Amino acid sequence: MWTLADRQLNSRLLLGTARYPSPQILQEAIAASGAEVITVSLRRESAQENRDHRFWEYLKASRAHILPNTAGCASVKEAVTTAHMARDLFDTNWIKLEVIGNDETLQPDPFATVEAARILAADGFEVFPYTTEDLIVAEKLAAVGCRIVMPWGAPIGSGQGLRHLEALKTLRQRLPHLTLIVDAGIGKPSHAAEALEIGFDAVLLNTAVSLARLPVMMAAAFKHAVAAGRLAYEAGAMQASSRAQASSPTVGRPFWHEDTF
Amino acid sequence: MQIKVNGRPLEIAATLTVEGLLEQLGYQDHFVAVAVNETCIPRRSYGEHRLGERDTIEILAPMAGG
Repeated sequence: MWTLADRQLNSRLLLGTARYPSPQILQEAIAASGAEVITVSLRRESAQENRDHRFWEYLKASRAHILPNTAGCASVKEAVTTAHMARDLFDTNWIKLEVIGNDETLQPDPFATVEAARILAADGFEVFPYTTEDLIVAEKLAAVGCRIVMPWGAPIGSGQGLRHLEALKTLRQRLPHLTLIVDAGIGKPSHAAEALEIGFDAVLLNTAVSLARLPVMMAAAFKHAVAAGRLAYEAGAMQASSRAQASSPTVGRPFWHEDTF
Repeated sequence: MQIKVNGRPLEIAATLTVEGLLEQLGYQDHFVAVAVNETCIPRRSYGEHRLGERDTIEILAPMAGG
């Protein structure tokens, strides 16, 4: 068990709900992943579009905690208003704060993110800010009231893994009391395992599962990878060495003899 | 009077509340959140909050997201 905000969870995998082949596969993937927190967004309702309202029914049936996001927001005002609407709709003070600064790279705007986080934290929200691996931004987010910080591994949907591993390690070392979650950029279970191995508390991913050839099977793969990564972190990995060191004992090895009689 | 709903112009009666607007649009049973002029209107206030000339209304629903 571990604590995320004020909730006790078993799984260290947070799962997004976008781009699955069908609502049924989404539901099965959530179950296979073991995720207890799932993300959702808010979009304009339209009577003209014949939207599939089963989506929300499936999510409710999963019994997972809902983490609404402010995806698509490009300003402090938009993000704050969207967070308020999410709180009203989902009856939760959790909000995944995304303020995008560049439409091409989907890079977060760190200045707007910190300002929106300040407003929302003061208003009682548990803010999960999406940010880069920049240490100073993470420190500013903590200073305005964030207990959780979510740096990207790589750009959203890119599947490149942990592009700046050393910077992520620095975040973990310098911010030991924050809950750190790698959000975005994870493409394979080994990426998720690596994030947990370096001491991150959890990972949040979406397309690595939803765009897999078999999403439900991939969800299970991530479940095991995250658990393995955490176990490895707690077990303490050996130090890497540039030289070979025989693992079998040299004493009494067979066929060894002195060069001379 | 004229308002905008999700970016589209709409002509409504001058006395309409948020609750009335949702009914008029057929959203009364939909799971939605509402903002008027970029301020969230809590659900408990739908029946009291009267819309004004040139108000801009956002009506949002849950969608898949990462």
